[in-house]
Amino acid sequence: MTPAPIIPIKVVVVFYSRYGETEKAALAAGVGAIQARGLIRLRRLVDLADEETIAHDIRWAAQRERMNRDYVAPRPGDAEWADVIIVAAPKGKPEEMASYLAGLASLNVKVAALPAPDSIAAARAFGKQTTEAARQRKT
Amino acid sequence: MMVLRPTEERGHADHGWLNAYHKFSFASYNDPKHMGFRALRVINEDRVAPGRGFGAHGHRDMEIITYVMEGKLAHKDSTGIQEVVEPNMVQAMSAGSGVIHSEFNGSASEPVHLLQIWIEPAEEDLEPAYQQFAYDPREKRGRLRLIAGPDAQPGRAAVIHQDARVYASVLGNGESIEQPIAPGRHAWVQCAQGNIMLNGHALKEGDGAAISDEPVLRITGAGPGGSEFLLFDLA
Repeated sequence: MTPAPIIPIKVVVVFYSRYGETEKAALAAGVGAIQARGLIRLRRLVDLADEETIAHDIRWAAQRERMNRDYVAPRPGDAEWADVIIVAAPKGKPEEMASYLAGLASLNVKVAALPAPDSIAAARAFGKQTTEAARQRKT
Repeated sequence: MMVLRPTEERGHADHGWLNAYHKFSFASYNDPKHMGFRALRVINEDRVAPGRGFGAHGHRDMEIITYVMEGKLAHKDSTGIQEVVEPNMVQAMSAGSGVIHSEFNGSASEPVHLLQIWIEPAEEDLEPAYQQFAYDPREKRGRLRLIAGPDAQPGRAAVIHQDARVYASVLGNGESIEQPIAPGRHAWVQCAQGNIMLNGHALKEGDGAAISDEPVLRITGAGPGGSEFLLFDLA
């Protein structure tokens, strides 16, 4: 009997990061998803702070410029495409993430929260476990 | 036996910031008749506008070789590597069990023109690895310069996890080289710049050719500006 083809789990990793720390956790979760043979999209939430505030924080401004180049913001079709969405944000649930999650509330999607991990290995394992759990639900 | 794959038959995508030609099926270009040749899965010719590039995206189980012809390509990946690749340098990434990377034109004013090659590895789930090396352009002038292979010397060429060898060469007008192809092996020739004659067949810039059951390849530069090509020796 021919085994059924494996359908890759589609994972969107949405994160909010100012200085690149949460970005590392999001990347690790994304790698974990790839290791679990998932397809991934990485999305960074756009800063809601005004330009003056960001410009006064040199580190934030520099990292924002880089991350705006490396990532796009969540797109309307992402939630529909995804089997699971992993979200990552610094402690304290910044307004950017709260707003994004509020927008998702009306959609029937599975959201897995990455709890401000200190460990990259933990984030990677989280991404892997999440995609494997999503796969098991699919089959 | 030789099957030519002319440049005009390649898939093409012009995104404004990216002008890409796909020798084999890739992204929105999907042709089941052209899914690769042996372990060679992708040859993309990309021209990326200044300051633009490919945002973070993932790869798995693929040997990815980048050959820059003009400009600079900046690379950053989830293993912490940040590098810039220029002409006469080769970058190779073994995606293995999984890696996320971004690639951008490293110049704010000049476009970057490159070939990106994907070769399927013989094994899955390898440890992700990154290699980059520079070489003297004279090493590919009038001869074949190994740039990737399974038994390559690290630092001199990229070690890839497949029984495939990739050579680069630049030939002057009328200059020829010969390369034997072992029985049972195959080859792909990709004309990167200029024009060449390959066993009596004319190839122009962007043309490729799949070769099987040919004991020897005779390649001649055929144009006043010289020519540059890649040769893949494949199991």
